[in-house]
Amino acid sequence: MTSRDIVIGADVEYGLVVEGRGVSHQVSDCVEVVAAYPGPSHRVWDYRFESPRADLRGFNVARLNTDPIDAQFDGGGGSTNEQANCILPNGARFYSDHGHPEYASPECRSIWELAHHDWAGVLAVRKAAEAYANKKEQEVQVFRNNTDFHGAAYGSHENYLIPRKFSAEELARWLLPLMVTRQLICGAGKVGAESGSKVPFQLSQRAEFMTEVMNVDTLFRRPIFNTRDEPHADKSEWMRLHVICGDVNMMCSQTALKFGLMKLGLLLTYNGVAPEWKLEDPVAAIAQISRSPLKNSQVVLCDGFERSCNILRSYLDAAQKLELDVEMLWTVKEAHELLDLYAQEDLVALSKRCDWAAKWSLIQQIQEDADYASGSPELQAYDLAYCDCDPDEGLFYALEPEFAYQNPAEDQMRRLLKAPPQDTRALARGIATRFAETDACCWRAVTLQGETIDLKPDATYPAELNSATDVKTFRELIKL
Amino acid sequence: MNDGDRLTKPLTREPSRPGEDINPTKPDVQKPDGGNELMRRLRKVDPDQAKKYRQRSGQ
Repeated sequence: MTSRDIVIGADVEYGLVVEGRGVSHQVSDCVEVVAAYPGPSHRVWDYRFESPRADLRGFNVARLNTDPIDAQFDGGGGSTNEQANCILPNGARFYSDHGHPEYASPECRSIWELAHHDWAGVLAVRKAAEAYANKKEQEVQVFRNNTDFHGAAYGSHENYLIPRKFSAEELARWLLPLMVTRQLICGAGKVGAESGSKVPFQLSQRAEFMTEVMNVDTLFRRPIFNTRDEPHADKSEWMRLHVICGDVNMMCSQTALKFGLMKLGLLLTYNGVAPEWKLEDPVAAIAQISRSPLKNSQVVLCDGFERSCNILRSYLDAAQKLELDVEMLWTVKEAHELLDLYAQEDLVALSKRCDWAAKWSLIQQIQEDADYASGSPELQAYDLAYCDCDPDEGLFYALEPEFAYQNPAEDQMRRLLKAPPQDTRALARGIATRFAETDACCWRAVTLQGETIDLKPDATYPAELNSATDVKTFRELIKL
Repeated sequence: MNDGDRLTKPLTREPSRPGEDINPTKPDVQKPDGGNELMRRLRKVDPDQAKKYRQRSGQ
């Protein structure tokens, strides 16, 4: 297995603020925002193949746990499939998920292509929000972050489609230490804490919301290792590693690194050379590391202690046993260099390449100039402003020219929303959105004129699909 | 609408192990880049926005 054999996707839920409205309206407002999306799209999602209650450990749960506070706000309303879903010409799904506009990227093989498609999602969300704002004459803001600073988290999930070879327990054994420590160099950073003792700043927005090691839930009692068994492909052949413990990144280089590290962990696991660390309490470890920026904190093992940087670096060292492609070589090099800077406590250099460091550097300067208290709500306001998706207001955009890597500019984002990746089934899905005869789309299939066509994740989709202008040609090409 | 503490709050975990769950020492920081444009944006930030910012839990 090579890194490109691992098909990846990113699902990002955005924070949504509509002028004069509150949490109790967030679901209905979000549906209307998505419905207002002005670009080309197909509007019917096919839910037939979804199985969010299936657990990789071989059972189905009766129900998924939900947030009891949010349940107070639920009631009535609802939405039609067409209001809540947009399948875009690039194969992505833009939809309303629990009151958050969510952009689920098209499937990619390259970590950089994925990072760019994920960033293009910002434009999709913004355009929908602008269209809704114009229609309603209300101001709308969207934020690319994972928390409201009051205990409500929303996700940025990673998906890795892999051959079904290992059990959930085996994968967790090899990957949990990586999932716990990678925040050192690709956390998004957060002012303050929403649980436990006060801290000025954390590496990760999501870490303190991980309260279990393994389970199938995502809305409540969130686990570091999610066991949802929903491959969106033939279950006998494929499994999808659904990673929910990571942060949404602002820098595309950080998104690429985050996915690259997990791909590396999977390659090491499949080749039987992953390092073995037995963490005594992964939940405590992920929270503790997050709360200790620039501290090479000790992680408690079942048989002693180890520095968090050393655990993460052990995956990079083990990679020497593999023959790596260009993207995996970049991942290892970038991770080594960032870990070196971390060990040197060089926040200035880190701030050019690392999301949490860029934010923390800015926050410290604001704190010094304005004399705000550490971790205060006032500094959290600047954290929020950093993640504001408005390119004319967001603080990230003002700093970006100084970063080591630049994100795609708006014209490139626009192109990305129209152009599916050429080497995954997203190509077929994206092209299918063109046709009036398309009944429905989902990750694993498209249905045209009543016929459902399975989109196998390892099939080759011909480039000629790009020029298909009618359903007959599309069908012929896709069945080759 | 109940804007009080959410039940969704993660479990409280006090540090009990040799991890450094303490305020980090402040490293030397240069002034952030971004120039006048950054300053313009910083001046527009409402310091109370995070206090008012509430979201539903997502996945």
